[in-house]
Amino acid sequence: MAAPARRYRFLERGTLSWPDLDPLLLILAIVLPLIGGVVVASALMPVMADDAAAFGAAILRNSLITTAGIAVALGVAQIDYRRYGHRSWLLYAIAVVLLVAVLVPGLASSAGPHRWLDISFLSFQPSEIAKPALIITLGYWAGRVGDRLRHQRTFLIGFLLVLIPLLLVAIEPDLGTSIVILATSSAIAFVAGARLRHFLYVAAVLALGVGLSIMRNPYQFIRIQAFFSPGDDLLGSGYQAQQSLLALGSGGITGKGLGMGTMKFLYLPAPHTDSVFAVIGEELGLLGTAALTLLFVLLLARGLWIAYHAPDTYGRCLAAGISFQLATQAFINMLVVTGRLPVTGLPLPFISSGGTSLIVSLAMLGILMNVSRAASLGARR
Amino acid sequence: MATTSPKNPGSKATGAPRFGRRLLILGAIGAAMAAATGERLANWQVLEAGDLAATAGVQQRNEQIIASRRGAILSRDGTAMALSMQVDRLIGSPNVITEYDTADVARYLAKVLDVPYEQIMAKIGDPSVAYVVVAEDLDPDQSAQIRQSMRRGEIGGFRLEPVARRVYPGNFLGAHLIGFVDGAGKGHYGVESFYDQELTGRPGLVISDQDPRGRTIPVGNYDPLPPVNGATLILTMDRTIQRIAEQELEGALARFGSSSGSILVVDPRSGDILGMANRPTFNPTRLDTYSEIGENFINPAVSLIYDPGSTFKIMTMAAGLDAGVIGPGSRHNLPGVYEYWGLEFKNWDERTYPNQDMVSVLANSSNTGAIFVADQLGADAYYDYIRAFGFGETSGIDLAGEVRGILKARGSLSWYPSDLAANSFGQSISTTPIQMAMAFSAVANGGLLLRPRTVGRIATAAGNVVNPAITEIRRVLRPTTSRTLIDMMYQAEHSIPGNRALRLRYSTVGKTGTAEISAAGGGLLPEQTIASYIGFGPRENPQVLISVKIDKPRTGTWGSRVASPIFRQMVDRVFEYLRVPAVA
Repeated sequence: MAAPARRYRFLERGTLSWPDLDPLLLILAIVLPLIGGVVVASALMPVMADDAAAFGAAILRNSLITTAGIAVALGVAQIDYRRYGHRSWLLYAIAVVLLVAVLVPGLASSAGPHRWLDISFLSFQPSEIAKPALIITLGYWAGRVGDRLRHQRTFLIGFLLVLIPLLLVAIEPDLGTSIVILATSSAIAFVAGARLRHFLYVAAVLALGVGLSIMRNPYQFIRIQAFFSPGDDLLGSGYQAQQSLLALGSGGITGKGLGMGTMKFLYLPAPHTDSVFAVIGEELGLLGTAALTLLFVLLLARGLWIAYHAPDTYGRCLAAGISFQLATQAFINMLVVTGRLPVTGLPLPFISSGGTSLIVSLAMLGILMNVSRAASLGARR
Repeated sequence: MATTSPKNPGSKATGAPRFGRRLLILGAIGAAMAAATGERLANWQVLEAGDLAATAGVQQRNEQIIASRRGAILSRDGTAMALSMQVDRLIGSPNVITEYDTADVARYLAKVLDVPYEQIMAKIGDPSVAYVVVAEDLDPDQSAQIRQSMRRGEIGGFRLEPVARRVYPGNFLGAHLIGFVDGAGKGHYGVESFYDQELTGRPGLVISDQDPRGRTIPVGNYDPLPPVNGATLILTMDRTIQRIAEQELEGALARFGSSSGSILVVDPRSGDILGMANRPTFNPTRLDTYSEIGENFINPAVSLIYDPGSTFKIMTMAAGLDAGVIGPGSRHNLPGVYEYWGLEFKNWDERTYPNQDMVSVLANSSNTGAIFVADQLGADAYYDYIRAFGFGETSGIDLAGEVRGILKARGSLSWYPSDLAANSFGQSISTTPIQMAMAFSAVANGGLLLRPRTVGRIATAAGNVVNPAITEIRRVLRPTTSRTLIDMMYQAEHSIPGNRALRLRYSTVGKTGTAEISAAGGGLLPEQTIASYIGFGPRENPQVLISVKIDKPRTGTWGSRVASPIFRQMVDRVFEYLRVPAVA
């Protein structure tokens, strides 16, 4: 198990020695952020109309983040995932500390939900850090415990491992990210071989928790209510959902053309982040939205293939967790925009504007590439 | 995936599941979400796309009407008589002034607008008011100052709103001919009403996509239809002649104690109205000073009727001459009193003039002589001529509100044979001053009835200039009849001792009229007349026709005493201004 690790330390030979990267993942790591960069530039046009300098600054910032993110993906792909598994506890601890910090009044940015952390020039969402931290920790832990996961006590430890960041994110409040964390963790546990019976216990506990959460945060209830009766509140939550559909319909099959969408001009809420899929729908049509959906299907399929061929449980959990998380978050975002799910405020991975989300997503893709390398070596063996 | 993979051993001992199947289940969940997304996308972007796109279109579509600029009205000599200009008015929203010190703002505005501080404060002092007009008609300097202050953020909660204002630099001058424009931009009376469409032009329409705050979306639909500004009208009216006419009319009304009257100056060769003065009148620039649109807004030259009296004898004489039933030398006793179809008609002095020629009928303005001529013609032929002269129909002048007058000809129910006699000297027939002027113009210009006009040229905003042609309505008299009648009128005028209408410098011809006024309940108003004179010159080649009408003069009742001297004054000043050659 230790032998292949040396081959991935890319500075070891003194030259930049690329491992044979997973070609599909490499394409996705470049194409998805580029699509995002272009569409976000279009979605920011209303900013350009108001303040050209701010628009320029945003485009420059996004370009830098995209470039940095792709570099991070390629860099992370060089590092054998088994080299940092035993240090994942540290990552987990940092994530938890940050999630607690974001709830401290002085450190959180602005009013409303406490999702952002401002540390001098850095402004980021700790929940975005927590997502990969939990995948790595949980995956490594699952690899360590092995079959003992099927014991109730071990499973309970794993559940608590998930529950801490899950609750911290939920009380920010950020229900969408909580759901993604829960889904991803469940997927990892599922792949690692946990008993189905245990999932049922968890479901019962969480149903109770969700009920409490909704009671604490009325706006979540309003969104859910609006979702079930979109006609009632056209100027509020239902209005957002309705505008997304108008954008999709306006695009039709072929779209209005890149940049030519009009719904992003204050009709769509957050056109460059949560509603970016609606902008794609209006400007690039069904061809654009279907193609993007397909890219995420490919990402998931490739990730599960890697998981299947991964040399160990840890790698399997990483591959399944990462690909399932990215795809699930993308599909939830799309189902929100298309009106199948209530508004949750989740960004579309790789596409939505947002530094933390993009860099973390690409870093996870890098990890996936590395597992892929190990998997293909294993498959060849 | 193969469950038999050697890498997927499972563990019989612990009962661990095969992860391959579990990975497949994860894949199936992902595929299900992707399929749900695809189904929704197909629904919204294909099946429902048309409806959604239409809804989005309606939501964003904005139509903005852009007002066209109303055309100017210029006098014949190119002076502006009516102009549209844009002025600003200051709108305040006291409910958003709150972040400023209202008293400071009010003091500042009072200084800029030059109005008392209290007046400003009364308008903007109440912070619950969302809309108040603080000041109307700002001059450009005030607008610029306020605009700059707003840009610098020194005052807030105000905006300047452009408003179209119609300005009449001549004020009273030619008011009836020009008319006025109401607050909604619609023309009333005169040229402003008659040519309202030409002056208005066509408003523009901009169809564009807008965001929810009303700003145009740069990549959205933008379909501008620019406005077509209104045409500029060049009047036939000459500003100097108009001024002379108004001055003379004012003077006459003061001198003879009258309150109303009209003076028309017409070019008999073209029908061009060179001047049209009326009293009472109004000032179109200061409409705010009138409590109602009253009688003074009505143009008496085209909209009010009167019995013309003796001036109408020219029409009777022209008909008789043209039909050949009389000649200048035809002789007749002009009885002082004459009974015709049961009614008694008298000469004005009730004197009998034995064995007189037709010139004498005009010179003595004999009613019984006029009856003789009409009787010679017979009612059918007589009324054919009167209709041909344009009576009983509108003159077709390009002014709003023209009336036809009242002509009771043979065949109409209220006509009595005795009406022929009354009509022959201009009673029991109602005409407008413009009808009389055009009938006299037909005598002056060789026999053609022309359509009078007040606009000689129309210059569209695109730069096209339309010169409306002179419109001949019909030939009324043979040229020789015109010539003969002018000579007779000349002889008649010169045979009147002390004729106040004549000037040695210019050879003019004309006819006085002293009309009795029909009372509302029938009969005639005692001691009240309309004194008039209609004449033209020079005799050889008539270029200018002037009609003077003074209503109910209190000092002097006769046309020869009241209207004739005004005509003479007008001839002096207008002929000289127009450089009409004087008699050698």
